[in-house]
Amino acid sequence: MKKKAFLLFISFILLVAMTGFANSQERDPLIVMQAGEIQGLDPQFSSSLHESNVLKSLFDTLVKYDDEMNLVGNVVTDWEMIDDYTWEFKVREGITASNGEVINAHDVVYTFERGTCPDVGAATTVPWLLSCMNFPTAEVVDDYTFRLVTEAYTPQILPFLSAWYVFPMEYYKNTSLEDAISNPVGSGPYTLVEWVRGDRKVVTAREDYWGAERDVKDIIWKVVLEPSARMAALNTGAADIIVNVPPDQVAQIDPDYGRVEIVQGLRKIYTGFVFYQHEAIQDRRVRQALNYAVDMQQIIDALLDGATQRTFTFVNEPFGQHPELEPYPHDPEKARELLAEAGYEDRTGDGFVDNPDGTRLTLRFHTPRGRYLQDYEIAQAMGGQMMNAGIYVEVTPIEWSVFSSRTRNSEHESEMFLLGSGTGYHALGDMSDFWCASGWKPGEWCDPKFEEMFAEVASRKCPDHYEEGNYMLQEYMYEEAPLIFMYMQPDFWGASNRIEWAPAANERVYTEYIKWTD
Amino acid sequence: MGAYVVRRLFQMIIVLIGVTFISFSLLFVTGDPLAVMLGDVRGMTEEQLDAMRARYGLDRPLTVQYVDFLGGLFRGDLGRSFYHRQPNLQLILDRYPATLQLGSMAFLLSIVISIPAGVIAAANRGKLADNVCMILALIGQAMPVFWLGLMLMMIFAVELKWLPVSGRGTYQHLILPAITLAAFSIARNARMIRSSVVEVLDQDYIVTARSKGLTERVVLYRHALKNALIPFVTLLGIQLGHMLGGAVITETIFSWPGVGRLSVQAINTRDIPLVQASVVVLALSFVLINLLVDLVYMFLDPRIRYT
Repeated sequence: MKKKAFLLFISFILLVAMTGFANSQERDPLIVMQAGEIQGLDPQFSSSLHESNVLKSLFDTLVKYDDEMNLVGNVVTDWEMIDDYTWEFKVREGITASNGEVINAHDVVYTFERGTCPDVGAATTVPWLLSCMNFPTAEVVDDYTFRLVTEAYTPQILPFLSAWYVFPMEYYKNTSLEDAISNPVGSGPYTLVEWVRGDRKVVTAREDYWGAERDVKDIIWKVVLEPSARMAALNTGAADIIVNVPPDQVAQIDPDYGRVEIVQGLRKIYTGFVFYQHEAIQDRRVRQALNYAVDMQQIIDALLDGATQRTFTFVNEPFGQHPELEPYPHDPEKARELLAEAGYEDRTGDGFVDNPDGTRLTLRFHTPRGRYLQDYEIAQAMGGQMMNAGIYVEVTPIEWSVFSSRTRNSEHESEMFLLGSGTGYHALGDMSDFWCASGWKPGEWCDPKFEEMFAEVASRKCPDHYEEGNYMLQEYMYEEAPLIFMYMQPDFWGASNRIEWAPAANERVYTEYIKWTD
Repeated sequence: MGAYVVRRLFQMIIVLIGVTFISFSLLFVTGDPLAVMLGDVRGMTEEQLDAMRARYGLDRPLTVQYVDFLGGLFRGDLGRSFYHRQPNLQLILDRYPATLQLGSMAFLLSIVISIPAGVIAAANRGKLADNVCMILALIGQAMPVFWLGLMLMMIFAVELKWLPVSGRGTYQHLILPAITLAAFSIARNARMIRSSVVEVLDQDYIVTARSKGLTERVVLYRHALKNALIPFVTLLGIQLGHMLGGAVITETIFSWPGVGRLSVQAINTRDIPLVQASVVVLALSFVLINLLVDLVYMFLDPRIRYT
């Protein structure tokens, strides 16, 4: 009796363990392995790059970047600025969604109405996009023409429309938010076949897509958090594109299966200063000294495979970097001089500079660990170089959710923090990370002069004057050094030999540029 | 016996109430739940924030919210994930089959391998077989899970290419994660069974059994093992609970879409409602399994029925 019960129990466990194998036969598609979970497949719930990669295969955006990072039409074909507050757009004819609905100006206007609904927008990129576009109101002019009326002069609206998805109004109006998240219907090049949460999204190319035909017909987007597992998949032919190859493992890619593709990204990595923690930070000379104290090129060469460039401005390259500024040179002597000028010098003879009251100047440096490529390692190296220059630094990794909360709420418990900042799509967008009036002020550098200059430049209408203002702001930031300028984050992608593909600088996977090699 | 079952059920309810209270409190210990959930409240006016509070019922007294939370649990409503904007129960149930599959297979492996290994070691006390088994067990217990997982992946998936690297699909996908998850338990169980059997083998009734002329095999498996298994069953219950509770590291290494990873992701994205729901579901699984084990225990050892 007991024996039977035991056997029954074991059989039951075996049965449970063996379930779920029915779907073992998969096709042989392109497999992309990303490092983040997907929140949902509603185009207006996206808040991360890995989601936007999947969404871009299912939905079209109003405009898009071509393979040389130029903005070109997509759902809209033509546009013009009618007056200071109004943009008019022509919608491409002949676009249909995967459910057969025809896409026209009414659908586009609906996307703007839906995006402002509080149920939809919170905690996604939609409110951010809307605020960058100065809260546009959309209105239909005719079936294939619509206008965006902004609350302020917005000459730089197009880059944000490259992240604005279009979807069929009837379907989304009549579908609950819950269902819309799981059952996306778009006009994009692919449709969703299967979504196994936490594992994969399978998409297949649409035969009736209006745009360029895709060479890759089926794509599986997988979530693989562990870098070694992604590497192993590339080395066994189980993945075609993988994100974030650790730089120190590049040599381990098996050339029979794949290669590394390195691209200098658009994400700036920098060290922010926290202005409310220590009065030393409030002194410009101390901030400049810390810029001189680090040998960023050495760090890039040693820890990032030399695969990127140093920065000297907070403006990304395509948006008008100052032509004459150069990265701060590595000059520990100059750093010591500046510190001494500011009243911080070695009074005890222990090799480290001291505060004016004789106690040692100690700077805490907090960094996330694993959020950015080699973040903690780089912070440690910087700390070491600062110590060599005579500045006592304590480097501490902080768990990302705590770190990001402190960043958001200006609550860093250190004098310095390491952070990354993506593209703001134009010069002022990039620099707005340091404009307190935007509400984003992790280090609370709220310099009245910069605030005023920024607002003034933002209101300039003549392009030449705008450029001049852009350079002026960059010069001011360079001099005031509210950050340690570091580098543009290089992106290390792994690509299989089955495909021809070069990654874009904005961390996105554009399916139209992926070709099979055979 | 009936009283024992009733007592156990009563204890189970107390534990569950404690768990629900703690998981409910989670939302509030981290500060303003709305700020925690939204993450970035830039650009939102106070009116909008108040509207959101009202929408999520966060403007009501805590006691009302707790009672409402409990009421939801009884109706099978575990709230909605703020991050995924889906019912939490649905999200968890989507992942549960994967967790159940991996947990069961690992559990099975741990039983099937550890019992014979422990018995063989005990029967050959001090001899080569005993030493080999116990050294292997020591290694099994000492190896960190992530290291073992990566090594198995490197050897069997990357070098030998016998098994897939990661993901869930065919039975082949299950092998490496199951071994990784089971390794520690196999080692621990084998050690425990060995010492338990060794202890039993010194008992008088074993001497009696041998003196009756029974073969060593019958003595070992019919007389010694059966009694040695009793403490082992309790351990199995806890172990199964752990395995079903989500094996976060194993799931992460092998991209296994289970509940463990979902819970950790919920923590990382500060999706407190989903964290609450996961805690409740996992606690319920754990408590139910333990109840089941206690009942089995009672069945195996009649003395328990009368204590």
